[in-house]
Amino acid sequence: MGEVPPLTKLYERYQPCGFEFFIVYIREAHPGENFPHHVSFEQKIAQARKLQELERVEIPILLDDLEGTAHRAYGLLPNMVYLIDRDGLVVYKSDWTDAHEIDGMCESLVRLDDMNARGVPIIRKGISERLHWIPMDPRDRERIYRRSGEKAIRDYLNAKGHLPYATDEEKLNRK
Amino acid sequence: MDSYNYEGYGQCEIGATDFFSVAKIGTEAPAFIMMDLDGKKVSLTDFRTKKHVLLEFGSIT
Repeated sequence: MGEVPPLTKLYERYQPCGFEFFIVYIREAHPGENFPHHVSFEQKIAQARKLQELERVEIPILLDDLEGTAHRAYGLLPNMVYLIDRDGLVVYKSDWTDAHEIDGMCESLVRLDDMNARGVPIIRKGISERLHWIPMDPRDRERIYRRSGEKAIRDYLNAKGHLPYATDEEKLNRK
Repeated sequence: MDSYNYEGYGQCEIGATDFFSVAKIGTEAPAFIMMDLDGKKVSLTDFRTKKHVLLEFGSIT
């Protein structure tokens, strides 16, 4: 989870403004020798603690059950983000952590709270859609895969045909 | 159910097709009760009318 540090900053900024942030610990996306797939809830708890320690996570971690009940309910992607407003409605969902977008969306809810406090009428709720671009630092990515173990790198290579930390240029050279 | 915790990446669909068909924008977020690392139960409904809630899903790997 390469985006943990910026999210921690947002947590510090927005928690005093009526927000709670949580990391939901789900199945291992790239299980390896060091962090294998979960076979018991006890093991899942132990690995969640390890995540907290390794990434120095300050945001509270919630444990999904062994069968992935919450993960399934929200769509099964490995690094998705949801923002849920005070009424319990989904106001933002993203297929990957994008700290800038999250910042903008939290800011929108702060503005909404302010409008509500001033009694500004809301005519209707609109919807927007967008693409976003996920930056990749090959060294950081290599670090995360190596931390999981050689198996994680091998499985990725078998599934995708290139190393998980290959640059676009290296991917082209393989073809 | 057994395949949820797959042993190696590439053994199972990672969910790209589910993501846009569940928990849609503007709809009520799926309810959950999960345990935190102190063993305390946290329910989404705890925050109703009180807090906005951000969830980031993730793992070590």
